[in-house]
Amino acid sequence: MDWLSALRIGLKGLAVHKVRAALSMLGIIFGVASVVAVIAVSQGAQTEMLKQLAALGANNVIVKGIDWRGKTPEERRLKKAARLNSDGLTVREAEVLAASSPLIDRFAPLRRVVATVRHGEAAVQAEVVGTTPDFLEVMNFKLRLGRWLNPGDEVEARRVCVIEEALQFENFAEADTPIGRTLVIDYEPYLVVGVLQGKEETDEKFDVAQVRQLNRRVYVPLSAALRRTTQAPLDDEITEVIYHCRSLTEVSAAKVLIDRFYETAHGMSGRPHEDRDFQVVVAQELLKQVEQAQQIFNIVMLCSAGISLVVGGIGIMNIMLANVSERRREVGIRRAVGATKADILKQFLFESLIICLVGGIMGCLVGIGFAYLVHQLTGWQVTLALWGMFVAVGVSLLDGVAFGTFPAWKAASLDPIEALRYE
Amino acid sequence: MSGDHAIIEIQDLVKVYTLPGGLEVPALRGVTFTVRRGEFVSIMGQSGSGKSTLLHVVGCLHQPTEGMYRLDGVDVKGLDDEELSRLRNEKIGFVFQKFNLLTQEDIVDNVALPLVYARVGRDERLKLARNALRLVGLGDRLQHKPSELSGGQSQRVAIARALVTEPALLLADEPTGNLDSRTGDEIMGVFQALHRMGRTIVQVTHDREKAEYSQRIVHLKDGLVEREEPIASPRTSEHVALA
Repeated sequence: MDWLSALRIGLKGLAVHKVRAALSMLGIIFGVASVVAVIAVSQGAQTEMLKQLAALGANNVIVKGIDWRGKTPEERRLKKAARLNSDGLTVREAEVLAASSPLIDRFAPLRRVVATVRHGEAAVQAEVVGTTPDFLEVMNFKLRLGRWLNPGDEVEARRVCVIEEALQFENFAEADTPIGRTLVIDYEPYLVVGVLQGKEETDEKFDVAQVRQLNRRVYVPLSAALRRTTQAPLDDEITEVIYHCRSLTEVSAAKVLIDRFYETAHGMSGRPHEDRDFQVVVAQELLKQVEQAQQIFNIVMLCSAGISLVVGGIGIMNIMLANVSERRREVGIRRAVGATKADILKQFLFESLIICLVGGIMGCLVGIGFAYLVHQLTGWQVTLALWGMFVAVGVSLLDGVAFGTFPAWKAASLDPIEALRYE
Repeated sequence: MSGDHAIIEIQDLVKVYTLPGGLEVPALRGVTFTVRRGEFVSIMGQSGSGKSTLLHVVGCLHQPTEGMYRLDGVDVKGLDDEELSRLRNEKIGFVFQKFNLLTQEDIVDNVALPLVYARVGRDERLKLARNALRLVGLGDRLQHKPSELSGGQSQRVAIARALVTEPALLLADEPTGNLDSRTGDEIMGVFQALHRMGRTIVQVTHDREKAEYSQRIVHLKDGLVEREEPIASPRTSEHVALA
């Protein structure tokens, strides 16, 4: 029997019981749909995370100062004791580290300033950050207008600033360029010299980099931030240092190195992490944590999708067994006119495969609908993956083979004479 | 091959069925007979005489337990399922008492069914099926479903199906058992016409009258050939059956 005939015979066989075939298809449809939807949601999350990675800088190792003053008196006492040998994060030690390690090619110190920002009479919702000219390259941020901070600004502690795109839109008229305007930071006027391109905002669910906050920054020279703004008592020199590694593959090595360096420099060797006054963060690691959480989600969802495919397969086996026992006479007739066991096996297996193929294709469509629904209801980003649909339909075909073989084999091994006697 | 070349050669054929309990029931106990090319032979016997079993063995649906069976020169003993299936497909055309048509297929596809397993292309299949239907006088009913046909028409479709592969042997199992006597006579007329065209036909029947349409009757009793009875002047059908 050629394949085209097998297909024709299979379709006709199914057409006899259309409702039955459709019902047995349902299991496959929902199984495939859930696989397609899960992959779409998880791909969407992955796309978001890649954006996060870009926002944090994949090559960066970030050292953050921890507020050693603590919340409770007990905490305060412990942290103060721990800091006997430490001045907190300083630019000097960052310079020493960057100069001594070949893994690090540049770095940018950051100082967050608690300051009021005004544009004319209006208050501006912004975070003031002092940093050095290298910051732009370390973070791989792009300028939209004007220029970035230059070494001259840093040496002379000039009152200049670069603002984020979002701040421009909020505080300046559309036709108005902010370049050359002034913002008042802590009662001193700062000239706006540049505007940074906005970072793509992502959903809060995966927002490890707090992109929203990145989009509200006003950058000033670090020297200006240190000398011209109000200093809180006992403040550390800088709040954060971002080290840029030469190569993506050396990031983990650099992290260990940086961790050791600060441990020694701050006199905290052997102390548990929660007692230290610094924290080393790697963008990749943050993403890994999120990825792990997501992996659990994926496994749970794929398990449930797998279960529904198994259930669908059992449904198909059930229907096919009923079909076979109902059509014993047909098997007898076919055998009498020359069908081999293999022909009969092929015929019934084809029927299962048709159910699975049609169910699989319909499942893809339903899955796309599911993914869209998820997007509408939760606002999560979903990315439809063609490979996911191929995998889902492929798995459903395997399902058809796995659960269709037994009924087909049963049909094939009927004795032709017994089969012909069946009423 | 010569003109009087044997289509069926059976010698000391034994068929023993083993029941689920292990009990062995001999259905045929040493049957010997021959059917030559172009003959029209009837096999008669009471129920339990072994005529159904003989039909199944002759039809290559079951293997003999012992003895020799040669179909159109091919020794059947020891062939596996695939070879037996091919033999049924190429050399035998079955006509059953209950017609055994596939209800979901129209009659052209029913007739073309054996050709599907002979791996004949679809266009060629339909052409041959139409020819066979024309031969049995049903050239105008091609697209009907079996449920729309009368008993006599259904049996003609079954005969067309049996003929479509040009088999060496037409094997009929009580072909008139489900038909009234007039229609039965008509079907016998079809067989006689095919016989005149040179077909080899073997029918199993318990109906003496229908057996008399053939040239020779093989009487079976208790799993043995009791006697062979030539019919000097076979009955002829009152109905001109073939187109």
